[in-house]
Amino acid sequence: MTTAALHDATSAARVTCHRCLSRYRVRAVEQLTRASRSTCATCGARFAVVEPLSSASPEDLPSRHHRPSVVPDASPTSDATASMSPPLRAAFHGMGGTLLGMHVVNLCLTLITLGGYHFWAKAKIRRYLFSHTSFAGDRFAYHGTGKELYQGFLKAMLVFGIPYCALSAAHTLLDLPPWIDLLSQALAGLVFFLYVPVAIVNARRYRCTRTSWRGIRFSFRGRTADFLKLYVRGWFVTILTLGTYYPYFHTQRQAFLHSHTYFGDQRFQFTGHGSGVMVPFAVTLFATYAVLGLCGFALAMQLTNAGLTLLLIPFVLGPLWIWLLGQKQRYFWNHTSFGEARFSSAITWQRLFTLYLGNLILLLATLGWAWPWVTVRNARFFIGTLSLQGCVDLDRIMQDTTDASVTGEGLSNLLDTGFDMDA
Amino acid sequence: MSTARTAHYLDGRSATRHRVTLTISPVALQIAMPDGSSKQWPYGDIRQTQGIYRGEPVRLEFGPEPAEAVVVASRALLTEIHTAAPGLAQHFHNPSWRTTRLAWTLGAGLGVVLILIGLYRWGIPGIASAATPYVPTTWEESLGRKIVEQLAPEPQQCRDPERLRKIDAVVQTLAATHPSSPYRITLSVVDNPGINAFAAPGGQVVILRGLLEQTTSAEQLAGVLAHELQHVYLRHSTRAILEQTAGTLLLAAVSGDLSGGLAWGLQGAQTMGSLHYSRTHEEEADIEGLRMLEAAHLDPAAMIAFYGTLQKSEQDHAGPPDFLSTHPDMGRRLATLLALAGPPPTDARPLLPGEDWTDIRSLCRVQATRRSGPDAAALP
Repeated sequence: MTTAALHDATSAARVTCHRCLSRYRVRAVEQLTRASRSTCATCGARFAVVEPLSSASPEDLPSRHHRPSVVPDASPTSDATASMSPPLRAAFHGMGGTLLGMHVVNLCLTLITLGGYHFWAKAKIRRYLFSHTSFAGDRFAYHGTGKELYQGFLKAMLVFGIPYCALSAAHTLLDLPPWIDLLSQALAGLVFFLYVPVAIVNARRYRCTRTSWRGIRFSFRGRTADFLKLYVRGWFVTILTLGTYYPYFHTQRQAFLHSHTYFGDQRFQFTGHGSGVMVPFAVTLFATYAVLGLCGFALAMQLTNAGLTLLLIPFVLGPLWIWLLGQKQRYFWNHTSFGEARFSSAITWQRLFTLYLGNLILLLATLGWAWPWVTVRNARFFIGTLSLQGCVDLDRIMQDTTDASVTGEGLSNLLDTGFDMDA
Repeated sequence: MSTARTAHYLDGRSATRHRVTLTISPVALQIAMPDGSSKQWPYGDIRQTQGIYRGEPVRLEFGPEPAEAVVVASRALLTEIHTAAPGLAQHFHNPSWRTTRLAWTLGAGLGVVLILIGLYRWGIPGIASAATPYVPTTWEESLGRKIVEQLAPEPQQCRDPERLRKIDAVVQTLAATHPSSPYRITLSVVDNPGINAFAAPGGQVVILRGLLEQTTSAEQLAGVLAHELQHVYLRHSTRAILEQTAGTLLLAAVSGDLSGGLAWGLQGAQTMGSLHYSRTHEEEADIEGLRMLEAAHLDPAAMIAFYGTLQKSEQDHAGPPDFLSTHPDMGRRLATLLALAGPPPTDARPLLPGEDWTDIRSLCRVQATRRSGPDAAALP
């Protein structure tokens, strides 16, 4: 993992930590080897040498085990002040009352049109949510339309919905021999299993190309077939390793989605690794097994008040899973960068827990009618905790006008044109 | 009239924001660029994509995608354009319509409430009634077979052929009142102490031993059977399935975007709705069952008497309140039947004359002793 950039290749090079922007001077660059490791004195980020600077091979160096010492750079240069620009923050400005009004009008129109307005309603809500999200003071814009969402729905129905419904209907309506019945059910399961990754990639592709900031569109250029391979292999290995591979799979999925996303002609990078979320995941997984095992044991042995152990599920597992979610979100965003700048998430499990508890109370107290306010609370929290630190020259980002990058190529054209049908 | 406003200009090619000055003329928006040049955007070619809702900056786009855009923080710009070029600016949002829009929103809210009440009361039952005749009876029969296999499996059925034939005669007397019906009514008795009976779609009627033993005459059983047969003839199960489907589809259409809380609330409303429809079906089966007894020249008094017995046994344990129940309150059902029954018919025929009902109704016991008899003898 490299969290620093070397500024010049002379013997006294400067290093900037990407996470906290502390600057250091490396005393003896020529002594750096591939095995050299150090940490940032301010934030503890790990430094590693990716490529030795000197042409001399490591064997020629007199002392291979010697660590080049890194000392804080006392002399800020003009370059330093430029890169020490304040972090760029994201914010959400929407209001629950407006959202409720929009939902009521949408509901009325959806009922009158017997559900046909649904897609246009969805596009309207999304346009509102995007228009009320800002980054560095500028609003995002959503360019998707109800017609496109409707076409996407038809496309998904054609490719997945009809086969799935036909196979399920065969099971309930026809009296088939058991092995054909079993086969058709397995096929229906397979169709659904494959639908999920295709929907994930295409929803992202659609949403990215329909989102802009300062007039520049986002895009997603990952190929569906690649994600499908990653997904099938990931689940396969996860099942083989009894779930322990899951954090690696999850991180790979995130890496694929983040690192194939572009803003204009500039790509997002993802440097995370499964080992980064392994500990929280393992803790949560084993605690879950332990609690469920305890509940099962108490119920099986018919102990007095065995039902009380079931309370452990919401009161112990609930916070634990929220903690895992917070850890994952933080890790994924903290390892996403854009050019020279790095994203940073201020999510803590305490704040996340407060958010969810508040949402639950709001919904229960109003029998669900506070739902628009819950949307606003969530958006405000998740968007508000995000910031971009480091120097990023936004003026250098250009619109990407090559349309071929948006649509897929060859056989996968049907799947890669992007559709979006989840909520 | 023409006031100058500062705005941000985006050229659609780079992410650079240019600070520009906007001037409103009667035909076009004039943009003074920082380099001294200027642009003219005729109002008719400008698209407004943001600035309709409160707290949103106004965004005006121009030209083909990727479009050029100007972003202005204040919505006063829109008011100024509407004043300067009233004819050309109709496609821009007018901030002065805010109260009108609020009124429309409230109207829409009222409309939603009225539509939902209408659908719940008439729409969904109407759709179900209209669609029911198109459901083939063979489908009902195969569904009914599956249900009976589940709830009354063969080994649990009491099959004493002699007594079962007599009970079946009661069923056929009632079924004779619907000679043109496509359903062939078959009856099975299950060895279960529960006081209940049910009709599966397609014509299979199941009675539990407990209910059979509560009846004091064949006429009382006929009362229960008349109710259950009406569920078959009126195709209540099929209608319930269609009502459930229509309700689910409606819910999906309405709640497509509402995840979480509101969806739960609507789910609850749907359950309440299906309970309401179920109670309606029960009332219908009671009333039509009574008519059926009269058509079969049987005295409805026996049915009413048996409902009275059921009411007494129900009073021992408190049931759920009426609105949470699948069946209407027994007292109300009895009152409805009493009001409809009228004077006892003069041409009333006795059912199974000369037969001992207490012997017939004990068919499960007979079977049980017969089954356990040889086994008991084999024991030392």
